[in-house]
Amino acid sequence: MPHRPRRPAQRHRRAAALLGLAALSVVAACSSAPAPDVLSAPRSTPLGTAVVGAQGQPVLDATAPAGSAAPTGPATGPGVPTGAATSSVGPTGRPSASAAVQAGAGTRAPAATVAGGGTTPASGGGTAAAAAGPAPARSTLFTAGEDSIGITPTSLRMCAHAALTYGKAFNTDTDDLNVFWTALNAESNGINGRKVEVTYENDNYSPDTAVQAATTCVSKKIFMLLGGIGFDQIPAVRNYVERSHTLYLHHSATVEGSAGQRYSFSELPTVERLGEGFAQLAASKFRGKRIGIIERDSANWKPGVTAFKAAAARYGLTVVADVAVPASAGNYTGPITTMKNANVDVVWIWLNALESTQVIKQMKAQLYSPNIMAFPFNLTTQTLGDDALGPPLDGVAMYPAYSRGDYSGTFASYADDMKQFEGQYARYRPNADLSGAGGDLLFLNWTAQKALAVQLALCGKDCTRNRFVDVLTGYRGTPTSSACPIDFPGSDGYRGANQVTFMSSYRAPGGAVNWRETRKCVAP
Amino acid sequence: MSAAPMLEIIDVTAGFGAVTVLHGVSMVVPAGSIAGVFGLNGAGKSVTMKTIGGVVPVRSGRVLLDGEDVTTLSPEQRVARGMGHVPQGRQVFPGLSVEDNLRLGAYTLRRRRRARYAASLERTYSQFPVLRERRHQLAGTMSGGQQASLSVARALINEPRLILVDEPSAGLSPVAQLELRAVLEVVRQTGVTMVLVEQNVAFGLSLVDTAHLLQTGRVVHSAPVASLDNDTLATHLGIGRVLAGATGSALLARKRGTS
Amino acid sequence: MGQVLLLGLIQAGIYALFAVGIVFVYRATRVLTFAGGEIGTASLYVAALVSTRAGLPWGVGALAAVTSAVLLGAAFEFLLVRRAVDADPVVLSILTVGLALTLLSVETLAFGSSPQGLAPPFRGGVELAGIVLSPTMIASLVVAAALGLGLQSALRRTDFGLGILAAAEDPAAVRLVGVPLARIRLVVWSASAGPAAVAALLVEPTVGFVTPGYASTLYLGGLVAAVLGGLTSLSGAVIGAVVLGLTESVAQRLFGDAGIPNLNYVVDLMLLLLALVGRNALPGLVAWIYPPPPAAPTSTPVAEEIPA
Repeated sequence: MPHRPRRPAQRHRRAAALLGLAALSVVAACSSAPAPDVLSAPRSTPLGTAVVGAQGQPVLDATAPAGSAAPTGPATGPGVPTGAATSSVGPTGRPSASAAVQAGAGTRAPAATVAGGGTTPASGGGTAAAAAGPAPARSTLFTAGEDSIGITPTSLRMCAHAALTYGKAFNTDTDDLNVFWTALNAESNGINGRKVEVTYENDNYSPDTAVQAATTCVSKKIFMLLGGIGFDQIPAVRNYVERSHTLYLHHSATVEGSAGQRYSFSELPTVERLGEGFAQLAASKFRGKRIGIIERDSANWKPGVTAFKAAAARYGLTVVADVAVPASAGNYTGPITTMKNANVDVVWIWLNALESTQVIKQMKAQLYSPNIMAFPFNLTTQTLGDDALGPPLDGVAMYPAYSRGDYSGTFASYADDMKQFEGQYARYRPNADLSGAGGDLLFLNWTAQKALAVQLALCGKDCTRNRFVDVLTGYRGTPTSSACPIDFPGSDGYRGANQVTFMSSYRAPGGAVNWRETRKCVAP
Repeated sequence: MSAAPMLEIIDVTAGFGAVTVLHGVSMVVPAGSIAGVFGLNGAGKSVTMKTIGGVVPVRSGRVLLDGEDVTTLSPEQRVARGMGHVPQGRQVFPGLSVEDNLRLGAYTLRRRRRARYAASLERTYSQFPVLRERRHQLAGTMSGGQQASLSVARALINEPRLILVDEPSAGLSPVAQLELRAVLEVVRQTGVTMVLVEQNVAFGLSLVDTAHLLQTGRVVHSAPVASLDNDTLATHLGIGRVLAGATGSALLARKRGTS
Repeated sequence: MGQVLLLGLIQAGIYALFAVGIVFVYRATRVLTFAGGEIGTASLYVAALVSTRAGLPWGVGALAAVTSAVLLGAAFEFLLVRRAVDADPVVLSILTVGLALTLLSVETLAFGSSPQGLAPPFRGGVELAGIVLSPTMIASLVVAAALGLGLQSALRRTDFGLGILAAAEDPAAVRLVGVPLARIRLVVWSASAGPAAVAALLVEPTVGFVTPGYASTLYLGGLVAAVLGGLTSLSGAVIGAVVLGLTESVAQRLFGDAGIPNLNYVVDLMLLLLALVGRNALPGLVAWIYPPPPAAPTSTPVAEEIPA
């Protein structure tokens, strides 16, 4: 399942972009402020900080007008930029108030970022005030010879290793995974004039194949390697990129083994943080209950359990059983019996989606219905159907929930993203089944790509690998309305996200059983 | 005996890949007789047997079994039409018992005329008492001589009209060879036509009626054994005088009817 | 404890079903097949199409599954095994791996790796020692034993079966006694796929649904069970499966909480070592029940003549 943690990308209609460009350059010329209003948000934001770029200029506004500020048709119409773009580059050039109100659940303000035409003036504005010409990059990670691999004035090439064999099922092939880039290239002329090209190599959900896939990717002379979901694959590829000096942006993985590694970055919570997140979930819902764990017997998954147990101890939770199972064990009657014997009230299933689904199904066959915490994927709930509602499942995720066409409740705060996503698929991949078991995977993939696009845009016209590293390590903000805040400067500089989202299963309007968010962006 | 020969090979050429081994071999084997095929290594004895058996395809020429053209038939089909084999090295099925080996030998018989099997088995056991004693013993645990008996019995039990016996004395001790000779005598007495290929000329000549001498893929001489002499043999086989003595005594014994 | 025993037997049933198919192929061809798990899975997809999608009764789906598996086996023999007729059994083993991978790809392309439902034939089950035993769980071990017995009889008591055994030892000689070798091969590979389908049909309800490759880990257990049972005895396969299942279950109960990584694999490895070292021990146990064919000296053919 491919998933790249990225910044939200913005789409601008050409006219709006040009208008924005015009407005911004006018404002920039008229003032010595580091950035025009649209880019410098009011300082008092829910997140408390403005976003600063590597050169110190404000580059991103964490509270810019909501993406769904334009709840009407245009938001989903063809080639329409996000609401944020529309409102932020409205005639007045000022953020519209309604956007802020749009914050829906009110827990956080949806973020908007400026990309494409927007960011060019941004950096232009910033540098207009600061200096003339691009400043040298701060990062020296890449030599002169390595710095511009995979990037030309008109193209940007990336490659991802991902478990395509599993993605295949969800009616996804690589064209389905690239809808965002296709739309960006077609409707906004790419990023800073560069068409983005992303290819995929199958890592078959295994470490050895992942390194092979990564090698194949690198041989294509790419700007950056992207690492899809896979706790076991990513550590192996991390070692590889360290040797091969490849820029690597990857999905969640354990911290173990990464000390001293300089080429790998992640914008998603670590395995350890996820384990802790599950403990937070248990503390919020299941205090006083007996907890049992069914975990994957793997060194790359173990740190999650260790973190869970440490946090559980702090919260005063009781873990009464803990069984490790081999990958794809198939028959889980044994571990389930152990849970029953220990009178477990809530079982934390620390396995992948397919395995979790099997475990829950077998639990029901064993007439056992404890509360369950697991990774929330629609694949699981749609396969289980009613079995996923009695009682509802709980989950902890590092991605947003998705239920096609349901913009109510907790979906409202990022309905703009959902609609934009659905609109693009309607245009470019109408046959993709967004309401099926793969819909949420496509959505999380899409929002990650959008987030990445924002950062790539921030990199500017003179983007190089080192400059991008600067952008990344200086990034602090919320890239899309569906994502959680990212804060590289406040972290160890390599892992910029540590907030997880709680979810619960529910019956969607169409009848399918999906997941929806109950608490978004929970901090440690 | 019927008038048509039991086996007739007409101008057969055969080989492997680019190599031609038989260059027009012809042979007639009357029903009820025993034909011997002799020659040095490389003369083509084994390929001749394989073309008769159907294991090696014929490139040109014909193979007739009791008047029927079997040239294009597979080995299994020829067995069904009355051909039997005692292969080189005996090739009994080591993991099966004696009785199971025999039962497999009678595969065709059991399929076509099942009722005859019991009688055929009984007859086989009377012809080969050593096999009856060891009927449940695994074939792989028997001695070479016993395996030779089993191999012959396995061919006979199917009530064939023609048996191809391929180098039966190979790998057998002199004592076992005597046993084998006795076994082959039994076969001869049943009236089954036999084609015998032998490296050991002396051994073979003492058993057969007609000798066909092969040299480099051609039959260079065919004659009843009685009419052969040392010199003819030596010339056509190219074996020289060294072996003449042994061959001679065999011929002599044969002529005297004491073989 | 009753639970440990029961859990072990449930797992043993699954292993036994696969092991019987593995041993049958090995006895008939000297080839260790790695394709049984995936052949079973592929046939389950057929069953899912027939039963779940077309709405026909489970029995019809099961029949379709077994039929499609047999056809698959026949196709495999016709297209591949036939061409590798003189190859080393190891080469054929690798071909079976290729078959498994190909099936995996085809399944994923055709159905996706979204789980496919296949409603089991009978609902509910019996509760024993706190474990709910579904009908298919109970049936597994029994069916495996019956299958083993049936195949064993077929091999030893029928002419064709004897032909199969003989062909495994000496394919050339088998032709010379009139046994149709080509047909033997075709039947062997077709027939061997049947048990694979039966195995999958009985295992899937326990797991819950079909996905490509769902049986791979379980099939590996079947391989271990087959080896433990001596690889040449069908009843040994069942016994090996029981030994494996029970040992794993006991190990889980005793050491499950100790956090020993890869406990199951450790158990498997230890059992295999034990079987290798105490080579006569386990087969000796098997010999109690059914005498396996001991390693016999084969009759060595005289060297072929070199063509002139």
